[in-house]
Amino acid sequence: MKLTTMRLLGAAALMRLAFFFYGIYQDEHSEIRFTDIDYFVFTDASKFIAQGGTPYERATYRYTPVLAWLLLPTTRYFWFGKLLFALGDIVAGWLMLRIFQLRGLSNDRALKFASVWLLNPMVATISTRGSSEGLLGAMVIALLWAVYEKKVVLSGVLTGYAVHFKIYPIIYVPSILWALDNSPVLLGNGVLRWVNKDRIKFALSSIITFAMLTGAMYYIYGHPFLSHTYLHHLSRSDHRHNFSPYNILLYISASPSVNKSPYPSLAFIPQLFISGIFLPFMLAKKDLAKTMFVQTVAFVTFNKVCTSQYFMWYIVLLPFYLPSSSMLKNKWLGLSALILWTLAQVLWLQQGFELEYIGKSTFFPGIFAATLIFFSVNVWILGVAIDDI
Amino acid sequence: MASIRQRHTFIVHSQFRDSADTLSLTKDKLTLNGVPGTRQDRIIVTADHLKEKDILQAVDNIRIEVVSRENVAHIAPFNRQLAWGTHINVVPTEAFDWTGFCKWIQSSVNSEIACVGQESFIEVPYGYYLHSMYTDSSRLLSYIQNNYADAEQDIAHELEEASAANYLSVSLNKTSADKRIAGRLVAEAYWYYGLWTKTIRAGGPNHRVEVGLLGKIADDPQGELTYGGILAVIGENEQFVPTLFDFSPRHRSVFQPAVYYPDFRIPYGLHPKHLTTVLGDISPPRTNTTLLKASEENETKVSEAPSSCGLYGYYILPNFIFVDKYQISDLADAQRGSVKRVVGIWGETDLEIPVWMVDKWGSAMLLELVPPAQSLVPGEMQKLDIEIPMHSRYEVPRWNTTVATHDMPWPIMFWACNGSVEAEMTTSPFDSNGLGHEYLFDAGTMFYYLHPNQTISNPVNKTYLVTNLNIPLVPLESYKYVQPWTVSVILLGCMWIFYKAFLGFRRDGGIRKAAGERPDKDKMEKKGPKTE
Repeated sequence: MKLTTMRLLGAAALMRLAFFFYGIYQDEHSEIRFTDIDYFVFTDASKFIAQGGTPYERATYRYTPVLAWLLLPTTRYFWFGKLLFALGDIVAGWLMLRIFQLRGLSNDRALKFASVWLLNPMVATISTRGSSEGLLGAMVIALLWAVYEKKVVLSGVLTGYAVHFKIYPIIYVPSILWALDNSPVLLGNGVLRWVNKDRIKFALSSIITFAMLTGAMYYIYGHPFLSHTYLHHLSRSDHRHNFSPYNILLYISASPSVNKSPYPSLAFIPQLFISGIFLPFMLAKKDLAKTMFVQTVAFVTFNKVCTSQYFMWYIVLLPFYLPSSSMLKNKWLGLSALILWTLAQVLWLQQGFELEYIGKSTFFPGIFAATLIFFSVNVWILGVAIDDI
Repeated sequence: MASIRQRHTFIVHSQFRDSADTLSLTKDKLTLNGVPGTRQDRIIVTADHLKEKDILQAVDNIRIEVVSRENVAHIAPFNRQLAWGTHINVVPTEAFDWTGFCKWIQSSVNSEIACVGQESFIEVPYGYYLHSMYTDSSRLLSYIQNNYADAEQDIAHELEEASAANYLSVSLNKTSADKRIAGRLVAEAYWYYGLWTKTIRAGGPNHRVEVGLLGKIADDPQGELTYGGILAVIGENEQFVPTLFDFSPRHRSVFQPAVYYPDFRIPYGLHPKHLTTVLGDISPPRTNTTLLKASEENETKVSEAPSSCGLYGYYILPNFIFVDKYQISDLADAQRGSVKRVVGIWGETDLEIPVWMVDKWGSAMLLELVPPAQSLVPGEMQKLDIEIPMHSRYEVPRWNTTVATHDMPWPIMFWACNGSVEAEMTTSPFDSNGLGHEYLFDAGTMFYYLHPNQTISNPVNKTYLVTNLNIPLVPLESYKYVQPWTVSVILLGCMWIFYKAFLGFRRDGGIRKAAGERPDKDKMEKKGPKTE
C-alpha cells in the first residue's frame, strides 16, 4: 500500500484515537493511571478560571494562563485537552510535510521521515496521556514553516507566542535572525548591513507578541503569574531524581549539609552559550531546521533538569535532521546510537525504579552514573549531528 | 470560692475495700498505703497564684499536652486517646509574639522542640497547633514547680510522681463556658496504673484538696457511666463521704472489641502506603434511641445503627512524610478505597519541597473512613483495611548512611457520633474539654475510640505505638566524587561539541554552505554506502 499524505495523517490520527480510548479504559479499570498527573493540573486550573478565579489556585500549575484558557472546554468535556494535544501532533506533522516540500525533498522521503514523528508511539502516548508537549511541537513547526514560506511576521508572532508558552523557544530567535540573509538591507554599510528588513520584521513581531501576551497575563493575574510561570523556572532546585547530569550535585548542594556549590548556578552558561549562541552562529546559515534540531538537543542535554517529556522538544525536529544523517548512511552508527540512547535510559529507569518503589538508596553511584552516561551518549550523538550539518 | 482546687482521683476496682492499713483519713491529711489503681490528678489555679503571667495574658486559649509513647490502657473514664509526643495548641490574641512564644516553649516545655515562629505551627480550624516527637516532661514540670506559689501547700511530691505520668496537660482557657476553669490554669496528670503510697495534706483557706476513690458501678455502653465510692475534702471532712453519680462522658472506648494496627506496606519506596488493619466488631456504637426502637417494634433483627456515627482516622504526619491532598480527594470522590470524605488536611502539603525546606512541623489529617458493610449477625468479626497513599520528602544527606530512620505516631481511630442532644450529655467531671481533635467536630459529638492493637504495656515488656519508616538518602561521602565528576563530564561534553563544530567549519570552509556545485545533501536519494 503506497504511503500518501492522507494515509499517513489518517494513520497518525487513528493511532492517537486508539491510545486515547485505551487511556480512558485504563484509567477506569486499573490502579495505575494512564493519564498524566499534569493533565489534572491543567484541567483543575481551567476549572478555577471557569469559576472566576486564577489558575494558580491549583498547586504546581507553572504554565501560562493561556493554556488553562485553551482548555476551558474541559469543564464541559473532560478529555477535550487530550484531543487538542493529539490534534497538535497531527498539525505539526502536516506542517512538517509542507516544510519538506519547500526544502525540495521528494514526497516519498518526506512521508518516511515525517512518520518518525507522526507514527512514533512515544509521541502519541505523551499527547494522549495529556501532556501539552504536542501543542508546543505544533507551535515550533509552525514558526519554522512560516520562515520557509517567507512569512516573516507570522513567524515572529508564532515565536513570541511559543516563548511566552515555554521560554526555551527563545533559543530559536538567534538562529532565525542569523539565517534571514536574503532580504534588502536597511542601513548603510559595514556591520550595520546585517540589519535587514526581514530581521527587523521578525525581531519586532516576536518582541511585540511576547510583550503583549505577557503584559496581558500580568495585567490580569499579577505577580502570581510572573512567579509561577517564569520565576519559578529560574529559581527551582530540582533535587528530585531526573535524567540531568546535574541531578545529584543539585540534591547535595541544595541541602544544608554542605556549602552551596558554585557550579549549579553556572550551569546555564554552557547550556545557553552552546544552544543559543555557538550553534546558531556556526550552523544557522547552513541549514535552519537542522540547526534548530541540534540547538534543542543541546538545550535539553545541558539542562539542570531533564524528564522524558523534554525529548519531545527535539523529536519534533528530528525528521529534518535525518535525511542526510550519517547515522542513516552508516547503519552501524545509527543502530549503536539508538541502542546506546535507549540503554542509557533503561539503566537510569532501573535505578530510578529501585529508588521510588523499593526504597533503595541508588543515588550514588547508581543514578549519578546513569545520568552521566546518558549525558555522554546524548552529547556524542549531538556531536555527530553537528558534524553532519 | 477557693482559688486553688486540687483533686486526686483514684479509680479502683469495684471490689476494693479500704482498711485501716491502706487508707487513713485524719483532720489534716489522708494517707494511702499501697492502694492499687488508676490515678488522675488535677489542679486548678487562679492567676494570682502564678509567678509568671506573661504567656497567659498573651493567649486566649492554650493547651500543652505531653503523652508518653508507651501503649497504656485508657481506663474509663479517662478514655480519650491522643498520639504520643508533645502537643501545643494555642489560640493567640491579636499581635501575638510568636518568636517569644517559641522561646518560651523551649525554655519552659522542652528545649528540643523545634520552634522558630508562627511558621513552625500549622493552622487548624480552632487555632494553631504544633506537634513534636519529644516526650520528656521534666522541663514542663520544673516550670510548674517554679511558677506555682502557695506558701501553705507545696506540690513537689506530686510533680515528682508526675514525671512518671503517662499523660500530662497544662491548659488555660479564658473563654471557657465552665466558670470553674475560665481564666484559670489547669494542670492534669494521668497514670494508668500504680500502687499508691502517699500522704495528701490539707491546703490553706483558699486551697481545696479533694480526694476520691471511685469504682465503676455501671456502664451502659451507649449511655451513661455510673461511678461510686468515697470522697473526702482534706481538712473539711474527717470521715469519707460515700458518693454515687452518673454522667455521660464525651470520650469512650468502643464497647465491642475492635482493635487496629497500622504499618507501612513493604517495600516503602518513596511513596509509602500507610495501611491500618482494623479487626473485630467494626460496627458503629448503638445508642439508646435505637435499642429502644428495636424493642418497641419487637424486631429480632439487629436494628440499623444510627447514621449519625462516622468512622474517622486522625493522622499526625511529621514533616518527613506528607499526603497529596488532590490524590486523597480523588480517592474519596471516586468512592474507591478507604476514604469516604476528607474532613481536613492542615499543615505543610507542598508536593515538591525537600524536608529541609519545610518550616512547619508537618501536617495533620482527619479523614472520614468507609466502614465495612453492616453485618447481619451482631458481634461478627470483621476486617477492614484502611490504605492511605503517602509520600516521603527528600532527606538531608548524611555521613556514613544511606537511610534516614523515622518514627511516626499511630493514628487515632474512632467513631464520632452526633445526634445526642447536648443537654443530654452531662459534663463529665473528668473531661478536660481543652483544645484538641474534638474541636474539629461539632460540639455535642461523642467519641468512641478503637483500641490500638498492641499488648498493653507492662513494666517489663513495654510496647510503644510507633510506626517505623525508612527514607533513602544520598550519603555525603559521595560529594567528593559527585562535584568533580559532574563538572568534568560537562566540560568534556562541551569540548566534544566545539571539536565537532570546528571539524564541520573547516570542511565547509566557514559558516555557510560549502561553495561549489555540491547538490543539497537532503535531496540525494540514499543509495549505497556513500553518496556525495
